[in-house]
Amino acid sequence: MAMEITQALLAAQSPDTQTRTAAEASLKQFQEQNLPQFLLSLSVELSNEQKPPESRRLAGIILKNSLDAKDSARKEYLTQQWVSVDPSIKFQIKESLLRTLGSSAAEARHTSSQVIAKVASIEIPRKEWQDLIGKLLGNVTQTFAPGFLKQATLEALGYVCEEVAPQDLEQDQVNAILTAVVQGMTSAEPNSDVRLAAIRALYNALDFAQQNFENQVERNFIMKVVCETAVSKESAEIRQAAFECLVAIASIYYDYLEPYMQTLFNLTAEAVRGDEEQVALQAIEFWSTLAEEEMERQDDCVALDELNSPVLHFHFIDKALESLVPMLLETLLKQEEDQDQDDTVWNLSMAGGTCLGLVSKTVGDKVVPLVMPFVERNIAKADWHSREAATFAFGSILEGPSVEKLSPLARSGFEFLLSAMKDQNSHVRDTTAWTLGRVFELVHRPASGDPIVNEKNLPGIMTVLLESIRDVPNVAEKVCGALYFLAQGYEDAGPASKALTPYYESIIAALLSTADRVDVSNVRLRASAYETLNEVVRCSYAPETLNTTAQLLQEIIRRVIQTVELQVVSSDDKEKQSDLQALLCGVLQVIIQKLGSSEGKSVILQAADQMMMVFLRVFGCRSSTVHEEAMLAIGALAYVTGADFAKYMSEFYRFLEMGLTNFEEYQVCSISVGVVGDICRALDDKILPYCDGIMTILLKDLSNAMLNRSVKPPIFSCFGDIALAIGEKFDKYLIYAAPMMQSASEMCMHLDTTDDDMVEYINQLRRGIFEAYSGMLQGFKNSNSEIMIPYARSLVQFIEAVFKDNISDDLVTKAAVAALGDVADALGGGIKVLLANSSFYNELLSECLLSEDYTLKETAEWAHTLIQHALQS
Amino acid sequence: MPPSPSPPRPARRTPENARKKAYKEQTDVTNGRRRREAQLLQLRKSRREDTLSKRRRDDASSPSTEPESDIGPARPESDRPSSSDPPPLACATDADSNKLLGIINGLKSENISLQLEATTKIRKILSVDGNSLAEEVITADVVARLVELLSSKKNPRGPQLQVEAAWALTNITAGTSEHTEVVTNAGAVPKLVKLLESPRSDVREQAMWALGNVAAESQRCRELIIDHGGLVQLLSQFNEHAKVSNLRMATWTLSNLCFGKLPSKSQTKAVLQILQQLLNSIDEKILSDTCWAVSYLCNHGTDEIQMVIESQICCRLVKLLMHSSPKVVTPVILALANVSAADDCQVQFLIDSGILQCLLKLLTRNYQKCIKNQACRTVSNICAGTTAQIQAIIDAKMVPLLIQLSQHGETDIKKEAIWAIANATSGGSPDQIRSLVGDGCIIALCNALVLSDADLLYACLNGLESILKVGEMEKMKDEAGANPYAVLMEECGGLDKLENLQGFNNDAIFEKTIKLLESYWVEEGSEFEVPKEPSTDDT
Repeated sequence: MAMEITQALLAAQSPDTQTRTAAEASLKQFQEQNLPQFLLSLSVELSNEQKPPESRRLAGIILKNSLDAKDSARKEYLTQQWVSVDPSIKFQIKESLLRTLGSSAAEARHTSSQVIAKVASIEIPRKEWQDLIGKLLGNVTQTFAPGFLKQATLEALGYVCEEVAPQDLEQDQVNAILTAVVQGMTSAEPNSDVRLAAIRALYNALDFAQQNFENQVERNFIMKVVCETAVSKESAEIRQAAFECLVAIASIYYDYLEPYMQTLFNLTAEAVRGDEEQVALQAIEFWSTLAEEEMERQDDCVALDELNSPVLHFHFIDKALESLVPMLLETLLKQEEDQDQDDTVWNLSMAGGTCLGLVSKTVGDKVVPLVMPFVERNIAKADWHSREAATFAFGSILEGPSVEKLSPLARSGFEFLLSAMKDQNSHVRDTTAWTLGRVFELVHRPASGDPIVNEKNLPGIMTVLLESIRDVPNVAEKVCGALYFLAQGYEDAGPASKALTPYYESIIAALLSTADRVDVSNVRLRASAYETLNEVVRCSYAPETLNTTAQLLQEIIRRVIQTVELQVVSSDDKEKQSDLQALLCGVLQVIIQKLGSSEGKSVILQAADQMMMVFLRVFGCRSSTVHEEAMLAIGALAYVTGADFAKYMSEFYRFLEMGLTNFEEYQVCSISVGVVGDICRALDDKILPYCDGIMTILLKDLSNAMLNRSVKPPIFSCFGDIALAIGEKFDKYLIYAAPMMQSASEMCMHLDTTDDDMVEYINQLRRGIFEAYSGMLQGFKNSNSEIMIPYARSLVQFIEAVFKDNISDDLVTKAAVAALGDVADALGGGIKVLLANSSFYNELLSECLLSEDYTLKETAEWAHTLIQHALQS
Repeated sequence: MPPSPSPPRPARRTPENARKKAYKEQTDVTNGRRRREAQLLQLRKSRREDTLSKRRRDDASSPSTEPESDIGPARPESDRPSSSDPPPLACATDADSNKLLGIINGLKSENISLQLEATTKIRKILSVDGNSLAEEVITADVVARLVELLSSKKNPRGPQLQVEAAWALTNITAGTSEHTEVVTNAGAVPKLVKLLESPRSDVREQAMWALGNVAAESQRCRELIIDHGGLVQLLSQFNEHAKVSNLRMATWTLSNLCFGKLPSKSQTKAVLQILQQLLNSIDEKILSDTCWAVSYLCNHGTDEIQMVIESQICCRLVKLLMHSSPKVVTPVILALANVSAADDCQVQFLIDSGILQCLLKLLTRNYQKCIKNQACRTVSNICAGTTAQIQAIIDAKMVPLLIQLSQHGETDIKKEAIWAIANATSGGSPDQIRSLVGDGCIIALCNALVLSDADLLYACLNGLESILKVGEMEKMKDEAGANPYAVLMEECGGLDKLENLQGFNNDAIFEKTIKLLESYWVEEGSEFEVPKEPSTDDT
């Protein structure tokens, strides 16, 4: 077999399809027939120095993939599979992996260190393979161990730390690991590969070092070694890895940083100014991380009340500001040509500007006087680097400082920025357009007394923007952003939004032709153009823009039809078609909502047939993303057409069903469920003919274990929507739906409430269930309320249970109280029996009557009156 | 050695990719799809709640809107939502004062372009809340000039200037009483009234707005407008050619004028004629302001109420009680509560229009406190009517609800419920009283004997007296020969509360208390063995 597997592993990498397929089949057969032997053979292959590197590599990869997978269900399966392998075989495999760490082939060592970590991630939490750490440490501390063994072992230690959780290792194991790792980092270690592996292992081990950081002596030692490594002369890679550790420390051990800050500032400053770029980037990253950490702490300080343990906040950024800002400003001058046209570039000036933005958000006004002299000094210089750096600096500090502080600056610099849109250098124009967008987003306040954009300068602004949108694609994209934020400023500004009306047509025309540009190599510009179009339409002053929007509607419909008629050959074509349809359907949704809620309703009603035809044709192209956007637009359309939507149902229903049954792409399913609710509200009982089909699918979805759980709460709410729409006709579904509601509410009781995500899910699920009950109770109220009597008791018990377990948010409580009121409303005196022996409802209601949430209080008052009334009837 | 790809840990540090995304980021632009979905989700949620609350309120016909909680006097409208462009000045400095000087010079110039520019600037300064320049602008001089500009000469830009000047004055009249006085003293009212004849709807609308603000100020201001023919002009705005926005404004202004008593009956009649038509409007804003106007009229006295009834709008008002918007229901119930306080014939009219079923719904369903309170007040007024009207209350099964509200309702509602019970028992026939007692009125009234409101206490005592009188008749049927209602009172602790009232510092209540005690209970140490016969001559 040993020989055979080598052959199979080599053949599985053959360029010849037939050979490859046959080899893959035989490997699979081996795996299925005898998994333990299969795994053992792979590990033997990996460790055998006589075998070709290609077969060893694939053996390692297959071994790794037999232990771990991204999908959590698959991962759990693989874990169980490994656990059930015979212990003696597992022992042989692990021994062979450990042996491979000493292989002379670098690739085999590397692979085996990864596989060791995967095995450890399964076994260590189960308290197995307890001698692993000891064995690995043995490799490192042997005086005469070869360098490559130490290097591979340190790498393995790092991966193990990454795979297992801190609580799974004993403190003495952690201590031993840290000692070995730190030892490997010091200059006493002659081999630089070992030192690099050690510092990278430390990076992964930092999470385990809580106790060591709490101890001043140990902390001092770790910091000393890391700082020394950060200036080690050997290789930039080592220094980069050391700075990565400092970045991690800044975020995990912020509380202990204070004594080291002076040193750290000097270290990072030297690196930023003099070291190689990969090191300098990490040094900037240190400050970016620190700024983020301090912003988070500021938020926490505000959020926690004073009685809680105060959050430590040393204001490092603030204290370093006067030296930090000049350092960052210097980096801005180190741009590269054409960096904005290449998405893969990440250089010093980009990192420095981004960091400056974070610093500005952290300290606010204080950053302004430190940056403005730089801006003024450089903005008009002959060298484009200076002009771009000045503009970038200015744009970067627009978030954080107060509008009062910024608006005079923005105001006086505004004309200059507009003229800079004609700069000969495209990089300058790119940054200028971005900065204009930031001014519109952050400083422009149309509703304030004295907005930066006013009737005097608006014509000039529009001329510049509409001209610059024809600039090279990366500049055009930023101009779209500027138009987007300019328009957004007028959202909810009432008649103030009239200001843009004179330009409405030309903006739309410019965006449409931008979307049509042929020189667009990346798809972002087209998406930006359409999303900006959406914002411009959404924020326009409806009474004045109605006709133009109506024309735009026709144009967009025309464009969708064009996409349907496109020749689609390759999968690439298909994807392009579907992306474009998604954007266009998005525009349609926005137009429907804009016109549907104003005097333009008739426009939508007139175009409804056309739009539905277009949506159905898009569905015909079959692609999940378009499916979603078209579904969303249809939901919006149903609200406008109301009961008239009925005429589309016979054709649309097929696609609705397709969406509802698409549990693999759960977002599609989720959106379709929502649209069922929209249609229910639009159609009322006219939805009846489709309810058999819809209810059948929804019930199936609920019991489908493969369907993402996030879709289930909306399905319950949807039951409520259907019941409200068809009233007493819901009776035939009740016997199926109610048990689902009961079992889901019981299941909630057994979920893990220590997990925040789970609590959030429980809350959503409960809200959905209550909405289902409410819809049914109110639906049956006037005709056949007795039909709910058998289910009312479990509802009351559910409410009681929810009230008692104390994990509900206000929305759930409100839904519970509302459902309680609905029981009283629907059953009247019938609730006497239900409430006879319980008092919880009084506690619940009195608690809610004291709530500060007005709507909760109101709901409770309503429920209270109904219950009292019902009890006395 | 291949580079070791240690994957970054997102929880701990921001990987380079995320940092790169932050470079010149324009996040909103790229998150359009998520935003659109969120908008639809929000829409969905509020539609679902609308549908449910519609059902919960039974069968109201249109979607509900957010409740508005203010009941009451004319609401001075603040200025227009801020304009697209700024007042040039944010705070007063020397430089600003110079600019202000420039504006005032423009205002005084004879050139219409300069006038227009200056007026617009002033209007904008005034439309910013808390603008320190506003105070400096509102001087007699400037206001007088603005008033002059209202009647600007024939010029293509004249109407625009009129709008701007009226708008500026609107903003001033939205301020303090002193500000409004400066405007009226400058003779603005007759000129604004004159503008109501303008052929341009935007001029008329702005003039109405200014007049509405003035009318909200005081009775004197309202009379000033009416004296200058403002009411007549305003009523002529309601014609089939008017735009909806004009109608809304006119209705609002009219409602403000109605806040005070109108000088003559014929004026009230003319107003009611218009209001009667407006009550059929489907525009919620118009409908709401119309109802406010009616409710103000009903506040002025029985003459006005009689005219309201004669104008045959009560039936429509009762129907509007079931309107889905609290903005409509609130003024309607206020109006009807006033009507229900009028004479028995007028009340009978309401009952015949089906008001009781509506009130029952208002009291049991999800309505705001102030609406419930007025509904309860209306019920208590009806209970003070004839025995036939009390019978209507009983037949509508309202008594158990009233008793429940008298125990558990909010303070104000509770009081109104007690009034209702006291009124019904005081005025009910013996059969009605038996039925009321059967529902638990004795306990309700006895529990009320600890209140401190003397009028209400007296009403309760009256009610108890009627009950005890009927109890005397029951005595004959009782084997032990005791007054069963007196016994009930003792059992629920009512007698103790009654005895405590002897210490209440009010003559009428003291006398009534003593009378009840002496009439129905043997005083301790009294030589009488049997209770006195109740005296029948002093009800």
